Amino acid sequence: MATTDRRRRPDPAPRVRPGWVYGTTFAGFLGAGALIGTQMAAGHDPALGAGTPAQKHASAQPAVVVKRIEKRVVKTRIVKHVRYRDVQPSAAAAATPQPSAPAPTRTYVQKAQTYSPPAPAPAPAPAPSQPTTRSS
Amino acid sequence: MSFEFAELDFDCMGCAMRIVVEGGDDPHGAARAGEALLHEADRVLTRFDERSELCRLNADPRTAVPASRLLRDAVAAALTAARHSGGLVDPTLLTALEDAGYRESRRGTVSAPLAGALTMAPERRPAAASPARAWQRIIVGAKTIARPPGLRLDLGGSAKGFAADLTAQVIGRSHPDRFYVDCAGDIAIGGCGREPYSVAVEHPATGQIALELSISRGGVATSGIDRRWWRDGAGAPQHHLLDPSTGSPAWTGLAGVTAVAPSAAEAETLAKQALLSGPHMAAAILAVHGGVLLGEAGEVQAIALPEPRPSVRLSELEALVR
Repeated sequence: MATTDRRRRPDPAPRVRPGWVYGTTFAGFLGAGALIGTQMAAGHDPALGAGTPAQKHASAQPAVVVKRIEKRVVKTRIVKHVRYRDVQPSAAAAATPQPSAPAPTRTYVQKAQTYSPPAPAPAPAPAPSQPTTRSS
Repeated sequence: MSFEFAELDFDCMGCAMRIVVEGGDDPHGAARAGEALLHEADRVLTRFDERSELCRLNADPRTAVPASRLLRDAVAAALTAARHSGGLVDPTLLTALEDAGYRESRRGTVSAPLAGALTMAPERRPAAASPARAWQRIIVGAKTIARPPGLRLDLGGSAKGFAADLTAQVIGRSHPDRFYVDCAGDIAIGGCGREPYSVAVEHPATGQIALELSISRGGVATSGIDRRWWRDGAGAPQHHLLDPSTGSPAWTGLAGVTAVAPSAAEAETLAKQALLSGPHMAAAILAVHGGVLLGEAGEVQAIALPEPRPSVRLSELEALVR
């Protein structure tokens, strides 16, 4: 006769109701959210950390607001359209022989410039001559 | 530091002259006043214009002749030069100078290269004072100049240095920072500042700059035989620096001497004295204030100069260390 060892199964753990789990989790979430919200409302944002002492000191300083009035000056450069006509010959040019046919009138037009390069550095001041001793 | 300056170049006393005035109350006015004074000195002291006071003095038969202060001071300076040089810088050699051929002004005359004269010059020997010492018989009084009638004066050996010093006094009244009066190489330097001038020394034999002297105050002068030499009727070379003992041009072995001194007149005297004394005695004469010996072959020998600064010309550098 075959024997059968039928062990008795242990009693299953009491079954937790899912509703209980969900309620506990949701309550914990609400608690954590309330705590964080309370701290942030008090100015202690946990994401920013504790902050350095200097920052703490600076935050303790009264805020100084400096109002700086900057005057903006707009310079308007008047750019002339210089037109040279009938240029007068210089003395040296007058001394040179000119062709008999009248030279065509030369016209130079200086285009308007919105930017003028800086003036060249002034030439060094002339220095007096150094003396030279020689037999006279 | 730069100042407003005035620089005037003009011909006077038969030579090229220059006045430079830097800073002060009125540099241009001071320079013009100096130029006017030099022209006045030329009119009074020249021996080439019979209307000059010097020529009238030389032609005057009187023993004591009334003279202007300018002429009296110039003659006094010439006598001082004669005394300090032991008679080598003698203002009474006019007749000998004319006999040597120097009768007219050599204004604008360019002498030939000195080498041509040196090759034909007689044996080199030091000059000596005239035994007669006629200059000792000249007396400069309060209003007159007394001398034996017929004893004629030539101030060419001292007038430029004297005029440079006189002009320097006038310019100094405007309190310039610095200035110089260049009377054909006889230079008076002065001023309130301390920045020195770099005075170039031109070598008579080479015509090139041999040295540069840094001088902030005093005088510097060069005496040489290159500027005024000529040939006589026989072709023999002659020049204007006479040996008082012979009345003939002095050939001592030196082409020129540059002297430094507290004044231009002293420097001119020392330069002529050293040149006439020859190379062996010249160094001792220049030892007090310093100077430069300029040899006939282009040699350069600095005497008692604290820091002679040779120019960058290699030839002169080689001569300097020779």
